[in-house]
Amino acid sequence: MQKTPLLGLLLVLTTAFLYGCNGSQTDETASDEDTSGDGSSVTVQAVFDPDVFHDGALLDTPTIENCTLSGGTTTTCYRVTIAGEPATTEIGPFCPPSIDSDASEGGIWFDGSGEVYDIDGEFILNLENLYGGDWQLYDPETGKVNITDTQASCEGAARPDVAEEYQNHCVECSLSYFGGAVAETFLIPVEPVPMNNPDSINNNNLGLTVNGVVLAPPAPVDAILSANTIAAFDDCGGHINPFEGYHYHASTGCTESVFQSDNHASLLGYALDGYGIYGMLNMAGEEDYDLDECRGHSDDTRGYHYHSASAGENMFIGCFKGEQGSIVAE
Amino acid sequence: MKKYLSVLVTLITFNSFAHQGHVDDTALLACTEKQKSDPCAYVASNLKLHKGSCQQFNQHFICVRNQPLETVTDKELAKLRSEGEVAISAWLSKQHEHHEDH
Repeated sequence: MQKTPLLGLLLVLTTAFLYGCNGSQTDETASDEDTSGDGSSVTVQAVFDPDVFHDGALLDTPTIENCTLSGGTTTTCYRVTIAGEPATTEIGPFCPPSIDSDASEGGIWFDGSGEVYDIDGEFILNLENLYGGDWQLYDPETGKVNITDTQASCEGAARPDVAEEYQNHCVECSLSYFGGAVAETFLIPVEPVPMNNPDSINNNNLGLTVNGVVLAPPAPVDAILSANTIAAFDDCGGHINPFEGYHYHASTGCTESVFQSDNHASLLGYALDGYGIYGMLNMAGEEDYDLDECRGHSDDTRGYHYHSASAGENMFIGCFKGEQGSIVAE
Repeated sequence: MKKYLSVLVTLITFNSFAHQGHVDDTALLACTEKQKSDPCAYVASNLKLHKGSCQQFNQHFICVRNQPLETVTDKELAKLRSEGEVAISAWLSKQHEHHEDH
């Protein structure tokens, strides 16, 4: 009889230790299992849960209001305002200062080829072999990397038509150029509304993370590379531009932080249609075989949900399975 | 028809390669002349076979993988190349041509 309180205390301490060590959470509300009178259990589909967000990820407590989804359905949505900067990690670094820099001094680069490159000095030196003979992102006399390290150079380079003087540059921007993080407000359906024919993502932001950052569509790597620039991502797959502030283009694991109790991949955020987005691999390092064209599937615990692609694929999900809420213009 | 498509893909591949080194747009090439939700497959420069369907991003169709990544052996790659059904990374093709020349 005395074992139960001791075991309970041990469990609480273990949970607190794990939480304290990695800043991650356990999604206790992923499913609500009701036990009916006859002893059978009924699994309730888990949907958007405002309680799973990390401290500091949201600027306000989410509220519920009427909304109209992309398919015309009138329903209720959560109004959620993200901070626009990660609550759980530091932003950067992006570009390495010199051709002697190691991987800790730079971020990563992915071009959709499946590869994820560490942006270190060796990567800068190897760009000529990787992308062609007219690439040189450094000063051959000093070994210093050409970095857009002012607001003017950031704004000249972080756009589709890169100014000529900023070609052959490693592009990075600072939130301080734009008065800090760019908060964004989302309307996310309280209950997702599935569609028979999924919607394309096109060039739109597709959701938000549990640590307060917007999920962007694939980075336009062809346009970036055609200007002989590398729009460096930090190790979490995010970078800054003058329009969106800090945003993620792929998941490298930093945001996959709401652990599931059944060996399932961790929750990293929500799509605009209200369905959860989880990491690519489960806790055993395996990927699912039954994903649909949007990279989603259903299980008894979570209902329908997505799994992110790998960072090297430069995307999170393939399409929207449900009618989408919206991003509110401020 | 297959031959025509193959020539078209080769031309597009060559054009991309000539302009951008080994920028790997194989995921786009895998959806050439395909529609949304059509099945697609490609082998990326890291020798991983990606199988999925074509989805639209910013006016382009990109092959979005929905099957686990498979590593392709040289023998399997040669078979896929001869069958002509799967888009293969321009960089891998270039390596293959280089190898053949020697």
